[in-house]
Amino acid sequence: MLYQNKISALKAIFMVCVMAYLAGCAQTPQQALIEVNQSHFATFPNWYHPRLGVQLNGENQYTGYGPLDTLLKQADERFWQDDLQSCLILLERAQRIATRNAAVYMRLSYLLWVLDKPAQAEQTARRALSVSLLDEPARQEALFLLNAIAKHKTQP
Amino acid sequence: MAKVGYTGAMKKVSPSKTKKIFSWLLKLSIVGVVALAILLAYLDAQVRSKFEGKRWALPAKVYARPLEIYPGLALKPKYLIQELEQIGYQRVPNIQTPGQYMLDGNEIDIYRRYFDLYDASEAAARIHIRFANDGIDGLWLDGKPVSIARLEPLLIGGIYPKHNEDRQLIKLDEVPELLVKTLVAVEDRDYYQHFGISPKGIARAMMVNVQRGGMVQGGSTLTQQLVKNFYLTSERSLKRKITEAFMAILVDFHYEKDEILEAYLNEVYLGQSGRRAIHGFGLASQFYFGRHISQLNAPQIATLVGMVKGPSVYNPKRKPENALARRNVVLEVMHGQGLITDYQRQAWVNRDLDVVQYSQYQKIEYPAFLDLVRRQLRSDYAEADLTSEGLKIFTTLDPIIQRSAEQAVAKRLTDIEAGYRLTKNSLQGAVVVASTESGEVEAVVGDRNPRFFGFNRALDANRSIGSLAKPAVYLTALRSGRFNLITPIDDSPIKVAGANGAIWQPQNYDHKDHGIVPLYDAMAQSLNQATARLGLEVGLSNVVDTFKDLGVARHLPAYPSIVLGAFEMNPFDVAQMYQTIAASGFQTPLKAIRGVTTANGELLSRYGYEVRQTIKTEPIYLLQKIMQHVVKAGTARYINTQFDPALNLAGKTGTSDSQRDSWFAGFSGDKLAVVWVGQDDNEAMPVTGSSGALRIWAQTFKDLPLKPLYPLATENIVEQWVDVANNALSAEHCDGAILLPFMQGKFPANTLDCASEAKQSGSWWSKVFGE
Repeated sequence: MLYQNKISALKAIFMVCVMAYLAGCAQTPQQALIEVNQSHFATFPNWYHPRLGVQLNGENQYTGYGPLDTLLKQADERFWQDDLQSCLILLERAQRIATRNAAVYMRLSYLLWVLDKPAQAEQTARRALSVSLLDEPARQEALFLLNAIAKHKTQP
Repeated sequence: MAKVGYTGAMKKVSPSKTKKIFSWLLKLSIVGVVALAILLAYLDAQVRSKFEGKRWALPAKVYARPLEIYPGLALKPKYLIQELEQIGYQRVPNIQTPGQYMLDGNEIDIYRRYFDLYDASEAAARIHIRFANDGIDGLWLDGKPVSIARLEPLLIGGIYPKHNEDRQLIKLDEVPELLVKTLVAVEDRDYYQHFGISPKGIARAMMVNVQRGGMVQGGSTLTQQLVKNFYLTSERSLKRKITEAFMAILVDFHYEKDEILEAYLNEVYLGQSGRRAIHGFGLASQFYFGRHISQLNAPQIATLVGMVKGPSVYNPKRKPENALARRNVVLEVMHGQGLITDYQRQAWVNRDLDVVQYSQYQKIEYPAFLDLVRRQLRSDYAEADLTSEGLKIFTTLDPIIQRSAEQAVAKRLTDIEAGYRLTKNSLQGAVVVASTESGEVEAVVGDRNPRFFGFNRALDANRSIGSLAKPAVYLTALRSGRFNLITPIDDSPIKVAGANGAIWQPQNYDHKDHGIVPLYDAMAQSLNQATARLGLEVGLSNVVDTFKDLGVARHLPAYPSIVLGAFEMNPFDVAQMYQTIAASGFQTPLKAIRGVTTANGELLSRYGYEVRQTIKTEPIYLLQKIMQHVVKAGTARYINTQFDPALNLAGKTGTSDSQRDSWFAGFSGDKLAVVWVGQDDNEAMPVTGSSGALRIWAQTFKDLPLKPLYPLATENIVEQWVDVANNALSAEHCDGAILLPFMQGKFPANTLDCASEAKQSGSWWSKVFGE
């Protein structure tokens, strides 16, 4: 019995050592997982949600029932729940389905901005602009976002 | 006398000598005991280090994209069924359990299995799909209408360690009790009584072997078998056998019987699938029967346990007669041990083996795509992690497109060889298919035999790209602002003196001169002389810059011949270049991976959407218009005979010097594909870009849904009535006037006065560029 206990104790020590070693050896992937150190809600400009909602689905009421609406709605929910990782993945799923939808790129751009990736946010907003020629409200939103990003970039 | 003398000598052994002998014996014994103790300590350390550390190197599992299903998706039922069959779903008349589907006219019912992805898990659920007009018309999940659902992704391969072992780890409590009892009954009846080795078992085996006059039965316990597989080689020697026995005793001393058994169940070798070695009952039950180990029935258990004796000899896929006979022997043993009734034995010995012909775990491998995955992972993960940590890699492969591309390559190359009486298998091909907007690589073919693990032409065949380079030249001209679609280009003979005195004198494919041609037609007809002249006029360094902006990473010297593609690229890099064109100047790095998780589903890394605008939208808009003209009336017009013209497909053919390489790069509103055909020894072929690569492109997409291509305009793109022959602005009512797009302010300098002429329609434009 005593011997068994010793073995168990040794096993436990061994496991702790192995885990510590592995943790030390673990490499960080190039594209690190998203981490937001402080709540991003504080960075929200007032216009974000209502304007984007008006432009897309009418105050974000999601009147449509198609796959795009579903994914955008889920993405927005995740965004407000502060689950930005899931939000990003849902928007990318939406992008695969609707490759030229300004709403998708606008949200992606805004999310990237919130994640403090202004360069990527700007390029994605440009993409939004490029697919919104015939949608004046969307164009205005894209330009608004581009301006906001540009201002943000010039701030010290 | 001698005898007496001898006896006398014996009698003369003194007590001191006896003492000496005893002393030596004692010393030898002590040395022996110490040596044995050292040996045991060494073996003990070996046993414990492996048993308590990471026992197995688990290969990374690579998955295709999960199929997203939604109303409005242009998916033919046959492709959905193909996907379901590939992921191991069984077609049944009545659905009862997950992993089954049934057809009912235009409707398909699927009982989806639970599965994990990198972003979420999807619960087991009943999916009902209604089809109409080659697309999905309605979708229900557990009886409720929904707008989107996902199917589990196809397992497309693994990243194996050098020994190619593959396994799916299981816990003992997942294993049916009947399997454990049967295994013990067949392989090691005293398992729960012995101490690692079984003297009784050895004696029994020896008796049987003596009776039968040969090696019929082995006396190894399960513990010994585990030790042999785990720590030792399969060398047949007394030394190995003794070591095995010592180690088995040590394993039995240190660990619980159940722990040893669990290790055995995961370790045992149970057959081969190509280069992949199937290890453990967990993977074997999926591989042979397409079901989780907990769902195995008694005859299936008997088949698997029977395989332990000889995985090759009793392989139910390769040697079904042997496997059937062996299974029935095991069923007899089960009956003898009271594990099954007499009635059950009678019923089951007549059953088929019930092996699945096609299962998720009997996967078709996609070596060229896996090669790309591996290379893209290399920057983030060490090789050892990929082959040992059991990572799950979720990729972008679309098995439907992949299969279509593979078949198109094989068929077209065979047809060309037969048509031109070429040596069989002398031609090779490669294909890269990607999503134009997301940059996700959806298919890669690197050899005409798509299962070949070897030289990957899609990534490594660097070949002269010929006329595929021309769009970069025309784009340079358009973005310079000095040229528009109808700017006259001279296609007369041209000579350029090189630095070393050599003369470069390109010629057209038809060896004719075409005089003055409008810019758009020079590219549509792929005129070499006009393109060479244009390239020199816009400046070679500017052309090189355009190549860079299009995503060509390699250094290109500013030689005149680069304008006609006299430099080498591989199909993947060409696809990256054309992705920028297809996505209106927005470059997205081509990627094959969406996410990587640990074996337990913890997200390690994600490869998301990235974009960068490298070319302004307006010149790309004009270039796309020209490339649509290439398909409508230029060198790629064959495409127009095969597809709905309303798709407005765009593309460019390419044929290198002496027809050594045949290329085609084409795109729709959502898909881009680059195809190469050539010979590995770089010999000339009797095919051009149009008759070779382009046909493979057409065959690949002929039956697949494509979205129409509408070039993205901006407010700086305006349409003007022009007179092409006079390179002048015209008016709608003028004779021969056509409506063409221009960048704001980049119109022809002259205006044709035709106030009195009859009104003409824009039919030419409609014919050429569509409405």
